[in-house]
Amino acid sequence: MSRDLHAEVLRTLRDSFSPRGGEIVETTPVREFLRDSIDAVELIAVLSSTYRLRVDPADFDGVETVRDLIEYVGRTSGQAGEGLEGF
Amino acid sequence: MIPDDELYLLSFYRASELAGSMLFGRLAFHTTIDDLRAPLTRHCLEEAEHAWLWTETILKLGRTPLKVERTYQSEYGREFGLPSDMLEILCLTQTLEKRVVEHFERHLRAPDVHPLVAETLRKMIADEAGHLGWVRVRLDKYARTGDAARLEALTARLEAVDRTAYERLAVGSPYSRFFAEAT
Repeated sequence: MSRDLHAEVLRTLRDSFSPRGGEIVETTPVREFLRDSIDAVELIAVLSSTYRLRVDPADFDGVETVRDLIEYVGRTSGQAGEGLEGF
Repeated sequence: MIPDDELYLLSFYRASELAGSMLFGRLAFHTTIDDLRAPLTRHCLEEAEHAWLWTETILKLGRTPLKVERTYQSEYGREFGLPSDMLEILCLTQTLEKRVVEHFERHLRAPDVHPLVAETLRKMIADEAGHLGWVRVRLDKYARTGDAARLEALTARLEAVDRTAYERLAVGSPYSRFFAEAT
């Protein structure tokens, strides 16, 4: 994954979410800023609409930290469908 | 005054409407689907209005809304998992709202429903039927122009999700008095 995408995903997360323990960094657990299921849906909407990734909820279950999330975006960006098959 | 179990149930209705409003507000904020931005915003508004209707009803009954963590959305989310696109969100919404109307009708038929609660239930039933029109239109269009087989499979899966989530709600107190005969 390019350094640009890495920095960009980090910036997107920092713009959209506020973790309890301060700024979002690579080691931040996603549960720090996903307090409920609505936050989780918002995260998918943000990432999908920004990076056009198609989220497979089964794969997404393995995402525990921001680093995992950035890698997930790197692997899946550009795969979203058109219209209702995206966000 | 209403008993504590009914207060909990009305607070659950209120929390579910609030959760719907927050969800649709965030989707309206982030979506890149231009022609969904307006209906998602409208849906957010209507859910917020419904949350206020329940809040107002509870206050008129001399009680204060309870903090309720469980909502229809949390129960359906627990069963369905994370939605992967807007199609799944719209299908989930259609399924959930249909269940809400059916449940409100069941609540209305329960004995000794307070007149203020009955009035709000009737208003909600009338509103809910109308405010889902745009979702139906979008799903019908997708069935004609998109992947009809996927929509059919999703609808079937959601019927099972709906049954399981509602049955789970029916089991515990204080829901059991109102959610009995869930299936």
